[in-house]
Amino acid sequence: MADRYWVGGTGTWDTTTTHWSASSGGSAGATAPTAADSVFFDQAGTYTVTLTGALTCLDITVTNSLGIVTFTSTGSITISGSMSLSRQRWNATGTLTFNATTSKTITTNGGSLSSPITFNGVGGTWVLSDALTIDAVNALAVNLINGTLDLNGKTLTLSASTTAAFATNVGTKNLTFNGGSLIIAANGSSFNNATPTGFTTTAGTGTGSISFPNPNAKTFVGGGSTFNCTLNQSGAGALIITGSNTFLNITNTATDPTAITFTNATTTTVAAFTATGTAINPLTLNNVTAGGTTAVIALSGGGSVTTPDYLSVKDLSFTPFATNGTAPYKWYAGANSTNGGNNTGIAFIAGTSTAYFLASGTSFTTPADWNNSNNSIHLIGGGGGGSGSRAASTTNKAGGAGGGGGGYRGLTNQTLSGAITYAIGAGGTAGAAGNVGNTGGTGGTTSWNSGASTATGGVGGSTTATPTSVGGAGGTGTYSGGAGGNGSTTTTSGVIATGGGGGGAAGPNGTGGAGGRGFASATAAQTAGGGGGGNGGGSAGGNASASTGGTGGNNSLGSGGGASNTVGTDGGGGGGGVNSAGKAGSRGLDIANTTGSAGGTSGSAGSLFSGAAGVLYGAGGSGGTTNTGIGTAAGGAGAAGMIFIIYTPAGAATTNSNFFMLF
Amino acid sequence: MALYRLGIIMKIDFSFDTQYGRFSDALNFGDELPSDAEIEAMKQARLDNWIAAITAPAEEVPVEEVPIEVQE
Repeated sequence: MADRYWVGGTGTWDTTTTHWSASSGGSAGATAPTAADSVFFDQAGTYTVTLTGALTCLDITVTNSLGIVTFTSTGSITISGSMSLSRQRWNATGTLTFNATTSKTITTNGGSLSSPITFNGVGGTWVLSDALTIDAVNALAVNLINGTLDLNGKTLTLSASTTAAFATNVGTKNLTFNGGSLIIAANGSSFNNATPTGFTTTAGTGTGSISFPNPNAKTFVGGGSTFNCTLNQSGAGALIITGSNTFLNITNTATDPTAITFTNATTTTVAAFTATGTAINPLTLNNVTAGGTTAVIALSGGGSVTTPDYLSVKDLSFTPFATNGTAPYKWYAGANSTNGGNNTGIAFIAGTSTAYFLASGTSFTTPADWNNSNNSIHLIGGGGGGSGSRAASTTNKAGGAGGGGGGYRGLTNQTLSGAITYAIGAGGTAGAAGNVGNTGGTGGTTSWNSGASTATGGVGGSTTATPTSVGGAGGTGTYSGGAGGNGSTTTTSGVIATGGGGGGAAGPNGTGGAGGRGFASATAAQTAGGGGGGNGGGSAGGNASASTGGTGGNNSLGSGGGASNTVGTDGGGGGGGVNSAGKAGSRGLDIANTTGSAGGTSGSAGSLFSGAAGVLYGAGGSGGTTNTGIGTAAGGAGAAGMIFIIYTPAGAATTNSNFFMLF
Repeated sequence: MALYRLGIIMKIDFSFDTQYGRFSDALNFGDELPSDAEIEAMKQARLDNWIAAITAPAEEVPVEEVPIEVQE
């Protein structure tokens, strides 16, 4: 081991002795440094050192306090010790490899490095003494293979000019934060844990973070690892997270509207989630796969997520989520957030309130912080089943009738204590196929407090009486569900009788829409089912005509009803099937913007199509069809009901509670 | 590597929380310590340089123009 001092000003660092001295300011002629020799650039003045070939050294130290040393060229260098730079410009673009097997430090004194950096020393540790910025152009900035990169409370920045800024490779590697932050300013696959095997992270002292400020889309390829740090979205471009990873927290500090996008079929586990938007810079949380439901965000370690607001959430599942009344929601999106639909496990109310969702179970224990003077309880009964079609003879036929939608009961400021017995109304059974016509089952009653309050189920459709096909009545409550639509009937041989649409469930905005009537024809292509009724406060489904299914009823906002042969959205009923099975209605968000009553399913059409089942919550099923002969088909089952509970905990400020009901 | 070997006697750690994330750095000094105002200016300069580095647009890779031969 020896020391080598650069002499002679501007020159080339290669394997010659031209610029190396054994002492500071001494004569040149010393051998070029090896991996066992420390090198010093303490010669005063401004000069350029051109790296050529594959170079090595132990420590590298620049202490020139008066001039500037510029390192340049594309030669690679392997440093087996520490690096300390002062008043330098590291413009060299060849790979800089740290391969120590013990603990070393990196000090740049405000300078940046243009070299791609590889850490590859088994058992080695590199501790940042100050902030380190890497601006390697169009190169992998950090390649972590073996050893520990310890941010030591400092900031490691990989500038926007880098590509695939941080990557792991085959080896045993660790990223330690000790409160430090990794700022990845590149876009694209900016963090790529390509080889998660052998990769660990350590929080150390304080809370570290990985931030992504790039204004364009960037991808965090987590590889399914545990990241003992905060993942921070800090730029306008969407941050796409792949892999089932674990984080201490996910945050958002961007000053623009932005998004964090999760990947279907993954579970992202967090100990906390404090990412929030603002009124002018909302935050979107969504799924790479539109319509996907298997991107799960799981909160670990208990507690609740209560601080977000101004979110727009779509196609995500949040856990834990109890649907039997044993625990409240753990995820609260905030009063000003938007439910983009297809989410579960998150309540779109202020985190200062508490919500429960009950789709099963029989007993609700009054919470210790229950507030008798600030609560609301919503009940939806089960939807009635659609009836089977009837074909007593070739001239005595009827398409199945739709089941009625479930009723809705709204309660406010209930005084509760102890265990509260409740029941969730089941969906009415589908009427079976059979020549005599079989009635759909009546939906179950959803009851609260041992039956003190109820929302009854919709009645099943009926085709038993010749020659009628009668939709079932809607369930009752504060508002009634929509009646099922009648099926079409015929006394003409060779005609196909079609199904009526299911009634929409009632909701806090009013009664459910009635289902529409089917259209019979001897030509299968012309047969059409009645439209499903809209959900609470919505409109009735339309009657079918030749080759055109009845339009699905709209929701209370006048939208969502499905066109002919099309599913409904946002609480709208399905558009009647055309020579096909009925189309589903949709669950609305009329209860606290979180869940709600559903639109009815449209009637089926064509030869021997069964009715379609209603969708959650409370939608009536639709009726089935006959064929040109005496064949019959079953109806569709009604959908089950549910109970939703909201209250502002006793003692909590009520000004942030977003919920007011008018009955 | 021992700090004294580098002539570093005092080290001041500092951090700024920004919209881009937390910037944490350190200033190293020898036996002459600047004034408080100078130190604050140095911190601000480090922060400014850092923000410039992460907000600078990515450099475009030059695309080599390939002449197209036209056969007549």
